[in-house]
Amino acid sequence: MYMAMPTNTEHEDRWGAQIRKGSLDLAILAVLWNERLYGLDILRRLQSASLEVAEGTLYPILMRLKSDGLLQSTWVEAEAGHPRKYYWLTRAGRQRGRSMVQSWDTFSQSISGLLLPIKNGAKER
Amino acid sequence: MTEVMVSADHALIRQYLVKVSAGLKQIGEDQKKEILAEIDSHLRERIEELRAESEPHPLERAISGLGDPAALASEFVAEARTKSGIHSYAPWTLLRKAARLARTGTKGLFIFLIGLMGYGFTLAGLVAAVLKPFIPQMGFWVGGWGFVWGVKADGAPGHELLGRYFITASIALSFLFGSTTTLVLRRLINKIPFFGNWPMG
Repeated sequence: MYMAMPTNTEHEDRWGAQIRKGSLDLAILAVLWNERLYGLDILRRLQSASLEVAEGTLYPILMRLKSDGLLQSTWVEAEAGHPRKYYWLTRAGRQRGRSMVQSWDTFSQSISGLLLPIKNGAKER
Repeated sequence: MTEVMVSADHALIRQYLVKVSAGLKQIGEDQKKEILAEIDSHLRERIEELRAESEPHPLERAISGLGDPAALASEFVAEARTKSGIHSYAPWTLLRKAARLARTGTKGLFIFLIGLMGYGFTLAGLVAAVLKPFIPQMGFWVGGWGFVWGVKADGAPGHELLGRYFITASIALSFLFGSTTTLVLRRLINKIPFFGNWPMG
């Protein structure tokens, strides 16, 4: 019987996508930390930080973050001729952002320690 | 099906929105309208961007950027399911959640106050029932001045209505307040995630 095994590249792509997905909430809170932005603007900020986010992925997440009380939004008439929905952080959103950054730091320090052998190539045969 | 009440003046955008709308059956009407309006706004924004970049088919490109409408709708539904709603019936858990919501705005504060009042009455009723054997003046007093559930002021004219049934009535009232507050609080807290269904603040 033949079973298709994922290639290394496929595996890395899937793993990378999971990491991006897991960090997207924090990334969105971060881009909204200092300003109010609308959807496409948020997308552009994320992309400029090399976070490739599909357009269709962003809006459902924004809806959930708003549902969780982390974001607030309002429609603003834009010069472009159609309204834009601007988002900003609530106080709960700021608190969540801070606690997520702490967790992120702790996690990344732990992982960095574990990764040292790989980085240094110490046990390479 | 929700009528697409957005400013979609182009047939392709309208078609796309209708398909998304069809996949949003499990989402409340107001929330659905909000989602469709945002997608409409995104598409218009994107079309302008692409036109500025001299893209030959801006409309089609913009729509394909959002992907399959059914898949987009199911992403919304999936995210709505993962909302951090509350499933507990424990008063302490509900009150803590309400306290967190209170920091997010007036609606949250309103919910927290309902919780405080409801559970406050519940506790007061239980305390009254427990104290009755030790404080005989505890009761349901009625007089020309109104009524009191507890101990009436010294010297105030009035008579007690419940007698030995006061303890049972107090416990029953506490149960009623407690269970009603729990149900109302759960409902309000879980409604908060769908602010689209609330008057927009």
